[in-house]
Amino acid sequence: MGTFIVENWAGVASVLGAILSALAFWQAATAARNARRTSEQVREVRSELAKRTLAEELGSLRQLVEPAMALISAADPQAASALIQRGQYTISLMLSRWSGVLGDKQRTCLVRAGTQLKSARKVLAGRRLDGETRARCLDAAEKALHSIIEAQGLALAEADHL
Amino acid sequence: MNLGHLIERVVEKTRSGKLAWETTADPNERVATLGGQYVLRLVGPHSEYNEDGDYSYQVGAELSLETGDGQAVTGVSASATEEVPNAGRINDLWEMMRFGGRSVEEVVDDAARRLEEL
Repeated sequence: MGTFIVENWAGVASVLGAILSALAFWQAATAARNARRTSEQVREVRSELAKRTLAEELGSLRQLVEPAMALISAADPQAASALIQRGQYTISLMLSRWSGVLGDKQRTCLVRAGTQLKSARKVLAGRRLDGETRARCLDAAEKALHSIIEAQGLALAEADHL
Repeated sequence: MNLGHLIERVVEKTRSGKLAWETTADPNERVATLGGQYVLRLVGPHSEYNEDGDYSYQVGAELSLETGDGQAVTGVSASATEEVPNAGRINDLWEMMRFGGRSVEEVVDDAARRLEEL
Protein backbone atom coordinates (compact mmCIF):
# COMPACT_ATOMS: atom_id res chain seq x y z
CA MET A 1 0.00 0.00 0.00
CA GLY A 2 2.78 2.36 1.14
CA THR A 3 4.85 1.39 -1.90
CA PHE A 4 1.89 1.99 -4.20
CA ILE A 5 1.35 5.49 -2.78
CA VAL A 6 5.04 6.34 -3.04
CA GLU A 7 5.20 5.05 -6.61
CA ASN A 8 1.99 6.82 -7.67
CA TRP A 9 2.13 9.87 -5.39
CA ALA A 10 1.27 12.28 -8.20
CA GLY A 11 -1.87 10.41 -9.20
CA VAL A 12 -2.95 9.88 -5.57
CA ALA A 13 -2.38 13.55 -4.81
CA SER A 14 -4.48 14.65 -7.78
CA VAL A 15 -7.33 12.27 -6.79
CA LEU A 16 -7.18 13.55 -3.19
CA GLY A 17 -7.12 17.11 -4.51
CA ALA A 18 -10.17 16.47 -6.66
CA ILE A 19 -12.05 14.95 -3.69
CA LEU A 20 -11.13 17.88 -1.43
CA SER A 21 -12.14 20.38 -4.13
CA ALA A 22 -15.49 18.63 -4.62
CA LEU A 23 -16.02 18.64 -0.84
CA ALA A 24 -15.19 22.34 -0.62
CA PHE A 25 -17.49 23.09 -3.56
CA TRP A 26 -20.32 21.10 -1.97
CA GLN A 27 -19.86 22.96 1.34
CA ALA A 28 -19.81 26.32 -0.42
CA ALA A 29 -22.93 25.47 -2.45
CA THR A 30 -24.76 24.32 0.70
CA ALA A 31 -23.76 27.50 2.53
CA ALA A 32 -24.94 29.64 -0.40
CA ARG A 33 -28.24 27.75 -0.57
CA ASN A 34 -28.77 28.18 3.19
CA ALA A 35 -27.88 31.86 2.97
CA ARG A 36 -30.33 32.31 0.08
CA ARG A 37 -33.07 30.49 1.99
CA THR A 38 -32.41 32.60 5.11
CA SER A 39 -32.44 35.77 3.03
CA GLU A 40 -35.76 34.77 1.43
CA GLN A 41 -37.22 34.03 4.86
CA VAL A 42 -36.03 37.40 6.17
CA ARG A 43 -37.55 39.12 3.14
CA GLU A 44 -40.86 37.28 3.62
CA VAL A 45 -40.98 38.22 7.31
CA ARG A 46 -40.15 41.85 6.48
CA SER A 47 -42.82 41.93 3.78
CA GLU A 48 -45.37 40.37 6.13
CA LEU A 49 -44.53 42.91 8.84
CA ALA A 50 -44.81 45.72 6.27
CA LYS A 51 -48.24 44.50 5.14
CA ARG A 52 -49.41 44.19 8.74
CA THR A 53 -48.13 47.68 9.53
CA LEU A 54 -49.79 48.99 6.37
CA ALA A 55 -53.05 47.36 7.46
CA GLU A 56 -52.66 48.99 10.89
CA GLU A 57 -52.08 52.41 9.33
CA LEU A 58 -55.16 51.94 7.18
CA GLY A 59 -57.01 51.09 10.39
CA SER A 60 -55.83 54.40 11.90
CA LEU A 61 -57.04 56.17 8.77
CA ARG A 62 -60.47 54.61 9.24
CA GLN A 63 -60.44 56.00 12.77
CA LEU A 64 -60.19 59.50 11.29
CA VAL A 65 -62.88 59.09 8.63
CA GLU A 66 -65.51 57.35 10.77
CA PRO A 67 -65.74 60.14 13.40
CA ALA A 68 -65.61 62.72 10.60
CA MET A 69 -68.78 61.14 9.22
CA ALA A 70 -70.39 61.35 12.64
CA LEU A 71 -69.44 65.04 12.83
CA ILE A 72 -70.95 65.71 9.38
CA SER A 73 -74.14 64.03 10.55
CA ALA A 74 -74.06 66.16 13.70
CA ALA A 75 -73.72 69.28 11.49
CA ASP A 76 -70.29 70.25 12.81
CA PRO A 77 -68.49 71.10 9.54
CA GLN A 78 -65.43 72.69 11.16
CA ALA A 79 -64.54 69.70 13.32
CA ALA A 80 -65.35 67.30 10.46
CA SER A 81 -63.17 69.32 8.11
CA ALA A 82 -60.23 69.19 10.55
CA LEU A 83 -60.43 65.39 10.74
CA ILE A 84 -60.82 65.08 6.98
CA GLN A 85 -57.74 67.25 6.48
CA ARG A 86 -55.77 64.90 8.75
CA GLY A 87 -57.10 62.00 6.70
CA GLN A 88 -55.94 63.64 3.46
CA TYR A 89 -52.51 64.29 4.96
CA THR A 90 -52.25 60.67 6.16
CA ILE A 91 -53.18 59.36 2.70
CA SER A 92 -50.58 61.59 1.07
CA LEU A 93 -47.91 60.33 3.50
CA MET A 94 -48.94 56.72 3.00
CA LEU A 95 -48.79 57.00 -0.80
CA SER A 96 -45.24 58.21 -0.47
CA ARG A 97 -44.03 55.97 2.38
CA TRP A 98 -45.56 52.74 1.05
CA SER A 99 -44.96 53.38 -2.63
CA GLY A 100 -42.85 50.21 -2.93
CA VAL A 101 -45.35 48.04 -1.07
CA LEU A 102 -48.73 49.25 -2.34
CA GLY A 103 -50.23 47.20 -5.14
CA ASP A 104 -52.15 48.89 -7.98
CA LYS A 105 -55.51 48.15 -6.38
CA GLN A 106 -54.45 49.45 -2.96
CA ARG A 107 -53.00 52.58 -4.52
CA THR A 108 -56.20 53.14 -6.50
CA CYS A 109 -58.24 52.73 -3.29
CA LEU A 110 -56.09 55.30 -1.45
CA VAL A 111 -56.17 57.80 -4.33
CA ARG A 112 -59.94 57.36 -4.63
CA ALA A 113 -60.34 57.90 -0.86
CA GLY A 114 -58.16 61.01 -1.00
CA THR A 115 -60.14 62.42 -3.93
CA GLN A 116 -63.47 61.95 -2.16
CA LEU A 117 -62.16 63.45 1.09
CA LYS A 118 -60.81 66.44 -0.83
CA SER A 119 -64.23 67.09 -2.37
CA ALA A 120 -65.97 66.73 1.00
CA ARG A 121 -63.60 69.22 2.65
CA LYS A 122 -63.99 71.72 -0.18
CA VAL A 123 -67.78 71.56 0.07
CA LEU A 124 -67.77 71.69 3.89
CA ALA A 125 -65.62 74.83 3.78
CA GLY A 126 -67.60 76.71 1.19
CA ARG A 127 -71.30 76.18 1.77
CA ARG A 128 -73.99 76.32 4.35
CA LEU A 129 -74.47 72.78 5.61
CA ASP A 130 -78.07 72.20 4.56
CA GLY A 131 -79.57 68.72 4.37
CA GLU A 132 -78.61 68.10 0.74
CA THR A 133 -75.02 69.29 1.19
CA ARG A 134 -74.68 67.17 4.31
CA ALA A 135 -75.94 64.11 2.44
CA ARG A 136 -73.47 64.70 -0.39
CA CYS A 137 -70.55 65.13 2.02
CA LEU A 138 -71.59 62.01 3.91
CA ASP A 139 -71.80 60.08 0.66
CA ALA A 140 -68.29 61.22 -0.34
CA ALA A 141 -66.87 60.32 3.10
CA GLU A 142 -68.58 56.93 2.89
CA LYS A 143 -67.01 56.26 -0.51
CA ALA A 144 -63.64 57.17 0.99
CA LEU A 145 -64.26 54.84 3.93
CA HIS A 146 -65.21 51.92 1.66
CA SER A 147 -62.02 52.42 -0.35
CA ILE A 148 -59.92 52.45 2.83
CA ILE A 149 -61.63 49.28 4.10
CA GLU A 150 -60.99 47.61 0.71
CA ALA A 151 -57.30 48.58 0.82
CA GLN A 152 -57.05 47.29 4.39
CA GLY A 153 -58.67 44.00 3.41
CA LEU A 154 -56.17 43.59 0.57
CA ALA A 155 -53.24 44.32 2.89
CA LEU A 156 -54.45 41.78 5.46
CA ALA A 157 -55.12 39.15 2.79
CA GLU A 158 -51.62 39.58 1.37
CA ALA A 159 -50.06 39.37 4.84
CA ASP A 160 -51.98 36.15 5.56
CA HIS A 161 -50.97 34.73 2.20
CA LEU A 162 -47.25 35.09 2.99
CA MET B 1 -49.69 62.89 -26.98
CA ASN B 2 -51.12 66.38 -26.49
CA LEU B 3 -54.07 67.66 -24.49
CA GLY B 4 -56.40 67.43 -27.50
CA HIS B 5 -55.65 63.71 -27.80
CA LEU B 6 -56.19 63.24 -24.08
CA ILE B 7 -59.65 64.83 -24.34
CA GLU B 8 -60.50 62.60 -27.30
CA ARG B 9 -59.42 59.48 -25.39
CA VAL B 10 -61.39 60.52 -22.31
CA VAL B 11 -64.52 61.02 -24.44
CA GLU B 12 -64.01 57.61 -26.16
CA LYS B 13 -63.46 55.73 -22.91
CA THR B 14 -66.39 57.45 -21.25
CA ARG B 15 -68.67 56.63 -24.18
CA SER B 16 -67.61 52.97 -24.10
CA GLY B 17 -68.15 52.86 -20.32
CA LYS B 18 -64.53 51.93 -19.60
CA LEU B 19 -63.76 55.05 -17.61
CA ALA B 20 -65.47 54.90 -14.23
CA TRP B 21 -66.54 58.41 -13.27
CA GLU B 22 -67.72 58.98 -9.74
CA THR B 23 -69.84 61.65 -8.16
CA THR B 24 -68.26 63.65 -5.32
CA ALA B 25 -69.56 65.91 -2.58
CA ASP B 26 -69.76 68.67 -5.19
CA PRO B 27 -72.80 68.11 -7.45
CA ASN B 28 -71.00 69.92 -10.27
CA GLU B 29 -67.97 67.63 -10.25
CA ARG B 30 -67.03 64.10 -11.35
CA VAL B 31 -63.72 62.29 -10.80
CA ALA B 32 -62.09 59.21 -12.32
CA THR B 33 -58.96 57.46 -11.04
CA LEU B 34 -56.45 56.18 -13.60
CA GLY B 35 -54.60 53.14 -12.24
CA GLY B 36 -53.97 54.85 -8.91
CA GLN B 37 -51.48 57.17 -10.60
CA TYR B 38 -53.66 60.02 -11.88
CA VAL B 39 -57.04 61.60 -11.27
CA LEU B 40 -59.21 63.15 -13.96
CA ARG B 41 -61.49 65.85 -12.62
CA LEU B 42 -64.43 67.17 -14.61
CA VAL B 43 -66.25 70.27 -13.43
CA GLY B 44 -69.53 71.16 -15.12
CA PRO B 45 -70.40 74.59 -16.55
CA HIS B 46 -70.63 77.12 -13.75
CA SER B 47 -70.70 80.81 -12.94
CA GLU B 48 -67.62 82.69 -11.81
CA TYR B 49 -67.29 86.19 -10.45
CA ASN B 50 -64.89 88.74 -11.89
CA GLU B 51 -61.95 89.92 -9.76
CA ASP B 52 -63.95 92.75 -8.18
CA GLY B 53 -66.85 90.43 -7.52
CA ASP B 54 -69.38 92.81 -9.06
CA TYR B 55 -70.63 90.57 -11.85
CA SER B 56 -70.62 86.89 -12.72
CA TYR B 57 -70.10 85.18 -16.03
CA GLN B 58 -70.73 81.66 -17.32
CA VAL B 59 -67.74 79.32 -17.70
CA GLY B 60 -67.80 76.10 -19.74
CA ALA B 61 -66.99 72.67 -18.34
CA GLU B 62 -63.38 72.11 -17.27
CA LEU B 63 -61.26 68.97 -17.39
CA SER B 64 -58.12 68.71 -15.28
CA LEU B 65 -55.45 66.11 -14.69
CA GLU B 66 -53.88 65.60 -11.26
CA THR B 67 -51.33 63.19 -9.84
CA GLY B 68 -52.54 60.54 -7.41
CA ASP B 69 -51.44 62.66 -4.44
CA GLY B 70 -53.51 65.62 -5.63
CA GLN B 71 -50.96 67.80 -7.44
CA ALA B 72 -52.36 69.63 -10.46
CA VAL B 73 -50.72 68.65 -13.76
CA THR B 74 -52.81 70.54 -16.27
CA GLY B 75 -56.35 71.66 -16.96
CA VAL B 76 -58.40 72.90 -19.88
CA SER B 77 -61.71 74.67 -20.22
CA ALA B 78 -64.29 73.91 -22.90
CA SER B 79 -64.03 77.54 -23.94
CA ALA B 80 -60.35 77.17 -24.92
CA THR B 81 -61.30 75.95 -28.39
CA GLU B 82 -58.68 78.08 -30.13
CA GLU B 83 -55.78 76.94 -27.96
CA VAL B 84 -56.63 73.25 -27.49
CA PRO B 85 -58.05 70.90 -30.12
CA ASN B 86 -61.22 69.09 -28.99
CA ALA B 87 -61.64 71.47 -26.02
CA GLY B 88 -65.28 72.00 -27.03
CA ARG B 89 -65.88 68.29 -26.47
CA ILE B 90 -65.47 68.77 -22.72
CA ASN B 91 -68.99 70.21 -22.65
CA ASP B 92 -70.18 67.06 -24.50
CA LEU B 93 -68.37 65.01 -21.89
CA TRP B 94 -70.27 66.74 -19.12
CA GLU B 95 -73.56 66.13 -20.95
CA MET B 96 -72.61 62.47 -21.28
CA MET B 97 -72.16 62.29 -17.50
CA ARG B 98 -75.72 63.46 -17.09
CA PHE B 99 -77.19 61.02 -19.61
CA GLY B 100 -75.29 57.82 -18.85
CA GLY B 101 -72.65 58.08 -21.58
CA ARG B 102 -75.04 59.36 -24.30
CA SER B 103 -74.79 62.71 -26.02
CA VAL B 104 -77.67 65.22 -26.07
CA GLU B 105 -78.26 64.32 -29.76
CA GLU B 106 -78.53 60.63 -28.90
CA VAL B 107 -80.99 61.35 -26.09
CA VAL B 108 -83.09 63.55 -28.43
CA ASP B 109 -83.00 60.85 -31.14
CA ASP B 110 -84.05 58.23 -28.60
CA ALA B 111 -86.94 60.43 -27.41
CA ALA B 112 -88.05 61.02 -31.04
CA ARG B 113 -87.92 57.27 -31.78
CA ARG B 114 -90.05 56.53 -28.73
CA LEU B 115 -92.54 59.18 -29.81
CA GLU B 116 -92.84 57.48 -33.19
CA GLU B 117 -93.52 54.19 -31.46
CA LEU B 118 -96.54 55.64 -29.69
